[in-house]
Amino acid sequence: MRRVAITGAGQTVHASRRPDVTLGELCLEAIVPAVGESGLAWDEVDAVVFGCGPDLLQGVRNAYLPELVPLLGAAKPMLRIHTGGATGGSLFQAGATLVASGWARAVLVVGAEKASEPGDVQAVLNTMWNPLFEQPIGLNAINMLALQSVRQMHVHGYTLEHFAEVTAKNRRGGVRNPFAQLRQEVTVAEVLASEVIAWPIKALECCPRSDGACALVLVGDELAGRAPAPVRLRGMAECTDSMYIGDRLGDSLSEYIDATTLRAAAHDAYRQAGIGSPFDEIDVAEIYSPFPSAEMKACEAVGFCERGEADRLVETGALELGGVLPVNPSGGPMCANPIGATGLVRIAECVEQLRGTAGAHQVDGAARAIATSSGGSSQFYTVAVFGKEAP
Amino acid sequence: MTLRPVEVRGHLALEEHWDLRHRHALGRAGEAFARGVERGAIVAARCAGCRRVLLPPRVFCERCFCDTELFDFESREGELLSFTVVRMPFAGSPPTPFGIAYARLDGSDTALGALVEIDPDQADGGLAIGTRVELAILDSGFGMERLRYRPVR
Ligand SMILES: [Zn+2]
Repeated sequence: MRRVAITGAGQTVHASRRPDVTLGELCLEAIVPAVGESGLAWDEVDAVVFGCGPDLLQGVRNAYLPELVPLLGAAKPMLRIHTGGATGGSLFQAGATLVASGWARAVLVVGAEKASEPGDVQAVLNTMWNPLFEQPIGLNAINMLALQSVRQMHVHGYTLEHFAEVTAKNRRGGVRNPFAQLRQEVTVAEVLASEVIAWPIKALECCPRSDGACALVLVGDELAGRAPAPVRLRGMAECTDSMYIGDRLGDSLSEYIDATTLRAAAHDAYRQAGIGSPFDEIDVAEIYSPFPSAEMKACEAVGFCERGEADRLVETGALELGGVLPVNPSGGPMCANPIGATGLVRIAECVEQLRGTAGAHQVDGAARAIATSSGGSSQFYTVAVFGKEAP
Repeated sequence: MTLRPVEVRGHLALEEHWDLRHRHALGRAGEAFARGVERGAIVAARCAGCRRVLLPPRVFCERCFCDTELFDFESREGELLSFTVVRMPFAGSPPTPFGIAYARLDGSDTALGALVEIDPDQADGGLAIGTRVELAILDSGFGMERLRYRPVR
């Protein structure tokens, strides 16, 4: 397999509503700077990999694909990918595979969402589930994560305060990040006092619905030198779990609150990257965590702590900017969640960190970074590990 | 489909209402389950290889890669493995507050999600993981609407 580098990264300022642009126009705001950074001419890009969430979120079938196709001139191939919240992570894995295989020299990867367009996002997300067994019992993105949080509280002893601490930490990140949508601090007390949406999840613990886009340019070695500071892919993996949540509760092979398949993906990515002790060797993590309990679960699964011990990471401040291993210094998905782009934003943030250009949320001297994504009812997981140096 | 122009924060937008009919096939296992509920039964699947009992039923075991057989599952009691109490409604949701519970019925190897009776005055609905619940089949509604977990007192 050929080595893969990221030579261009662009993201929009994420917002609650962008009534001034179509989805395609929003994508351009991320694509133009990404291609510009890469040092490539437009027609040197060999293919586009595009993703957004369910068509119902845009209310347009094959959401604006035709707007993006002519970008690169005639006769370039295009893929669309949708793995729910993991879409951005899957887009990256697909684009990187096209480059690694030698099929393409340069691939433009684009993720985007306009979650402001439907009247009721959670009603749209409810349609993701099986119409006979799951839709009628009221599953949506919040309720599905609430089922996870309750079980973490019971099995691991995590508390409402732990979840509120993670929320406050991420919101501090949003204050520092000019691309974030939520840029106001909240206190632990404010989180705890906010209304319950689905027990035990509070209103202030829910990610916002966002309009936003993100784009990356992925290239092989021969084009990596066109950009001043290429970021290198060191390892990546994607793992998928069983369909039904109930298959993953108290099961020896797959446990909902352990993110068993995220654990497997991380293990594989670390093996490729030569990482034996992730907590010691990784400098910064951008984790797909639309809710605080998801961040704690993911920290365990990617090996930052033992199973059920993410509460210690929260209590000791290890995950804060300035802590031992900053997690989501950008504020993460809790401060902006343009669904189809969110997983790519995690990677774009890793790129900024490794270049040293993350600004107010820069982690000093960051040389190794990890990005994750998660989608479906916690079924689709991706992990990618990046470094400044080629493997 | 109807489209009409509306103003959204100073920008012209087109508001669209979809009124599309879909007819979702229930599939072999799903149809057996739905017809089972109509006659007061819970249809589960048993894997011919690993002998796991699977709820919801499905026609293929993803661990053994072999067919399953469908049968009437007798047990109506089990252990609560997770739950939530939903306070915020969305379009088409059950009336709030409502509870969602996942319980593993005795003799089953997976947990079945269903609506659960709650104490609406308690934040956690008065539910607790690890407690015993029973699965009732109500007289009205279709499919999962008719199933209801209740704490065993
Ligand atoms: Zn089997």
